[in-house]
Amino acid sequence: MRRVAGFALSLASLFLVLVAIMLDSQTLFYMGTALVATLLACRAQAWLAVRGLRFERVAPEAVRVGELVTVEVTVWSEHKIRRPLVAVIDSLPLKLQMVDRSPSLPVAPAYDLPVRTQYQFRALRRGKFRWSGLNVIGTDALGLITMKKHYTTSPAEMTVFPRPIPISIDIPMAAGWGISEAESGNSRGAGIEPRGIREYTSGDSLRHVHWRSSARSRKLQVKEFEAGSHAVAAFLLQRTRGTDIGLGPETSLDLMCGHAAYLSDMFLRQGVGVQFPGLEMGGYRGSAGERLSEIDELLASVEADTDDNMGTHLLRAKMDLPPGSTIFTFAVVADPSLVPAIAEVTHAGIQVIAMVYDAALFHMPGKKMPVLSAGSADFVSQLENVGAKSVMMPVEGTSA
Amino acid sequence: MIRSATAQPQQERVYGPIDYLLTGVYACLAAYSTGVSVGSSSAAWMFVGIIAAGTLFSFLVQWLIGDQPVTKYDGLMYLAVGIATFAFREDLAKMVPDQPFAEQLLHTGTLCWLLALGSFFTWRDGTLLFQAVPSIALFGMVGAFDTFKAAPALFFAFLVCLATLFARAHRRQMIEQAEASGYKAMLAREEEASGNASEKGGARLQAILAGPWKWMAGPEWALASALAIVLISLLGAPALRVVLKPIAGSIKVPPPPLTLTQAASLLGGSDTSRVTIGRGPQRLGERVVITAEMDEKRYLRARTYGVYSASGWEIANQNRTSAPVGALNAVPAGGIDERSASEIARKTPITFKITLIDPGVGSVPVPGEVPNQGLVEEGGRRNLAARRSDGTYQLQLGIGDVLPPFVGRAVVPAPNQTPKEAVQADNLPGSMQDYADKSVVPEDVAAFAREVTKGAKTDYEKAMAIKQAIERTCLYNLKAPATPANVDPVSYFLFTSHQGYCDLFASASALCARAVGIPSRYVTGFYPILGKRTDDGKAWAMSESEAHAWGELFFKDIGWVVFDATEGAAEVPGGSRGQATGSDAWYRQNWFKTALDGSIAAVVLAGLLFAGLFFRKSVRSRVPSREDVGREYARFAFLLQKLSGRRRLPSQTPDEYLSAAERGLGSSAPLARDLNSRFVNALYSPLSIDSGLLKELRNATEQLRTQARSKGEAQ
Repeated sequence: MRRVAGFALSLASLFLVLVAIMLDSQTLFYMGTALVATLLACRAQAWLAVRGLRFERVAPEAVRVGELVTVEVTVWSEHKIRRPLVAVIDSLPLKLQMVDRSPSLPVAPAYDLPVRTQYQFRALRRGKFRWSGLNVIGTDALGLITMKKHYTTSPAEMTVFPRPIPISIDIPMAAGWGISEAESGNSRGAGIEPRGIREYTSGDSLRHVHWRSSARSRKLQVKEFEAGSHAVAAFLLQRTRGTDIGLGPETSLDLMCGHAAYLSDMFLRQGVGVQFPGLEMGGYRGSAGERLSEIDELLASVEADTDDNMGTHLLRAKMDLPPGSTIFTFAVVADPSLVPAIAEVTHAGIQVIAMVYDAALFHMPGKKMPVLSAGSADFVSQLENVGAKSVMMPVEGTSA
Repeated sequence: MIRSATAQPQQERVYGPIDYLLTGVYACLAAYSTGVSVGSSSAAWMFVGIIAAGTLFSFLVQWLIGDQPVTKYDGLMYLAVGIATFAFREDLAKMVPDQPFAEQLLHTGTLCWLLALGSFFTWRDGTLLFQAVPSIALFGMVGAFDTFKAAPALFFAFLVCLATLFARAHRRQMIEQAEASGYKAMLAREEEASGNASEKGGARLQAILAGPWKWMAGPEWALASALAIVLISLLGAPALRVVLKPIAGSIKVPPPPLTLTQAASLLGGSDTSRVTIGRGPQRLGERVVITAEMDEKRYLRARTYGVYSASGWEIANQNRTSAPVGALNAVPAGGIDERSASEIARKTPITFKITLIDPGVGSVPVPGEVPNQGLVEEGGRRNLAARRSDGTYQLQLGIGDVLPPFVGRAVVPAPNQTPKEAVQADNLPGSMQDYADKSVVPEDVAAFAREVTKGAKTDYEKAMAIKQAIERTCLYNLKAPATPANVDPVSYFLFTSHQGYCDLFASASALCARAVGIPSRYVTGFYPILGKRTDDGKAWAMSESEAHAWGELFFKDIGWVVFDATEGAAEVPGGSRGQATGSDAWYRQNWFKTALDGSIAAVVLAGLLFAGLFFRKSVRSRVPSREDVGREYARFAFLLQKLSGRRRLPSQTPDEYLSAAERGLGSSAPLARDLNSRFVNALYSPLSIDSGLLKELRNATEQLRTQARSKGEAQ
């Protein structure tokens, strides 16, 4: 509103001066000059406010979708002048979709002394983001004139992890010793090598309670053992180019990543190894926490950018998985190559659970769905016919 | 999506009494200036009163129910007031004392009412600031009228109030932005974590003021800016005017017409066919209302009157067109004007130029006898002045008419002629018979006239005897009390009060002359009593206080002769001829102007003195600290950056930065190295810092700069 006031006052001053000249009125000359001088002083102040500054930005390295991100920017003045308050508008990448972006804290830069400002936002979409440069907005002490200046800064990087999206699904019982047992808790403790202590979850055997830790933390803690190489859950996401359906922060791939993150967390807590064939190369050691961080990092950068179909990915994954493993395929678009590939994989003793999404449920305003949905009855029956267990995935409730 | 400000402590964001005070003051300044510039102090004070009440009302609304949703409708209410003000502008204009907002100034009155009534609905920032719009518009009007000399000073005060209000609103916005940025929430969390949680939001504001806002340009900057602006305006405006002189003044805007009170005091009010006399002290100021270019000081007739009654004078009866039998062949037929001119046997033609600065005068006062078609507007005929039958001119201005100067020619009796005999009544045409009507002369006045003219041989001697008798008998006093009701004013003047001003002197002269058979009339107009000239010296500049009345007697071969009995009358101190009376507003008086000029000069000088002393004190009282060394190092680092082209990263120590920049320093590197080590010692060793060390470091940095520059030039 005050920007309008500044504009109105500028017009008024111009008008007063013009009328003063036309009428040759001494009084109007005084008034017009005073108003013009005031506005010029404001303009000079705003101009000076954004000159000769130096910035350093600190952004968190990693956040999760929906978390409040605070970016701190340190400002130095390179001139020995006092200034009115300035605000910073960071040049965040357009791809970084966000909500609740706050204005930056207005600050008065000091000569060679760091003054810290900050702003906040909530990232809505996973990904790895890199940006540099920012704009400084300076106003005069009256807030009438606003000036903007762009500054280049050293680049900042931030990874936004997907938000684990809880799902409640019945994982079909598999023959032999596999994920279904892990999920039920039966496999835990089956290994020999102890791996660490974790918090008790429903289904854990009281036999494995670590009483000393429980007493210390006042929460039930259980010993966790290596579950053995047989219990492996592999996640295969549909990444073929053009299969990421939907707009904004709620595309099918984002939803798959959120579900995969949740399931990964769940399995890891239960001692099951988690793999993402095609996205990483072996060597999955370390604690559950470390592995989860690796998975978050992995899922943050997944893009639907490969030309291979899903069947090809599945067949490649088969090579790395031991028999008795379970592979979860996440698909939104009906990929015909998947049917023979599943047949081959199940033949090799690997259980396949097909997590299918209904493409029609993703928001595509003004666009006709160009693909056949993986959630179609025909495709699902084809998958089940070749030995896969299908699970229709929910799409609702994906909002951050 | 930008996050909106969260609900935070009210005392930091809400507009307080200071904001309302500032709004009230600046709106009052605008309304007061407008009222005064249109010549009505009463109107000015009325609007000031309404605005004060409205602002107080708005403050109470904000204070008592500021958090209620109804306050959000202040803008709508203001708009409704604006529409109503415009719709009922004419009725509202009539409610103003003195009714200064006549047809031509209706828009000014509408703005005044908008400002006054709008002040009742300034419940939030938007409407508080919006009051500036009608205020600036009104100041624009004041400037266009250019009749109020103190207006620039009041405008400066207005600007200071407005700027302070804007600064406070901007600060509120910044606080809201700080809240929205999450900084205050973070502070609160930190306080909570440290166990020093403060319940008051004000404490968190203090934390911001002591933190990221610590180095903000503060009030001393605002003061310095304000002083600079005042100085620029005081010096710049006259300079600008001189520079623009060749193109300035292409448009003329008439000043506002006089109020009814003022017009009445000058020329008999809006109804110029009659004028009352003996009305007591009148408000006559120093404002120049007319300028006249003519060969010498002359009486300028605005209106003539022939019929006397106890309530005053009326114009001669224009309907009496038939002359007495026998007189028709003796005198030329026609109007008063023709007869008046034809009586002058030896005529001297003169030219003149009349500029009406104030159209409220209502007439175009003219010297001598102006022939028909003898007065025209400069630059072309537009018939803005209509000729009356007595040879005077009625001003006829329409809306938007700009008043040009009037140029004319007239005839006056040739010099060195002494009148002897008056024109007898039977030689006057019917239209002039009223001038010889003795029946209107009170008996005691007639007796007085006969008494004082005993022994006089000619009519002229009689007239002079009357004039001298009145001069002897009565004192000139502008502050003479009004004539009591039901008493003849001239009788009361001559025989009871023995004091009065021009209207009574003129009336007494005219009646006494008529009583002894000399045709006479009562005339109002202007006379350059004070003899003031315009800036260019070409014309006489006559103020309100030089509005005048005199008697005119009709003599053979001469025509109308001025008999001004005030000329030789003794004057009461403080009430002399042409002097502005006590009704002149205080702001128009010289003492105020001098005091204002002195005050402005004193404020400017005091400001400069204060700034100088403050600067000197701050420089002297400062004990050098390590921070100063840091600043000097920053200058050194900046120099290194210029020389090497490498910017210092915040994480780099001075040594690291020097090694990174050394390659680009060339032969200045040894000196830079030495200086860098001295800086490191000063910055990080336990050595105490003194001004000598600081000066030494500063000089060494300068030396490095000079060395680098000279080498650069040599290359």
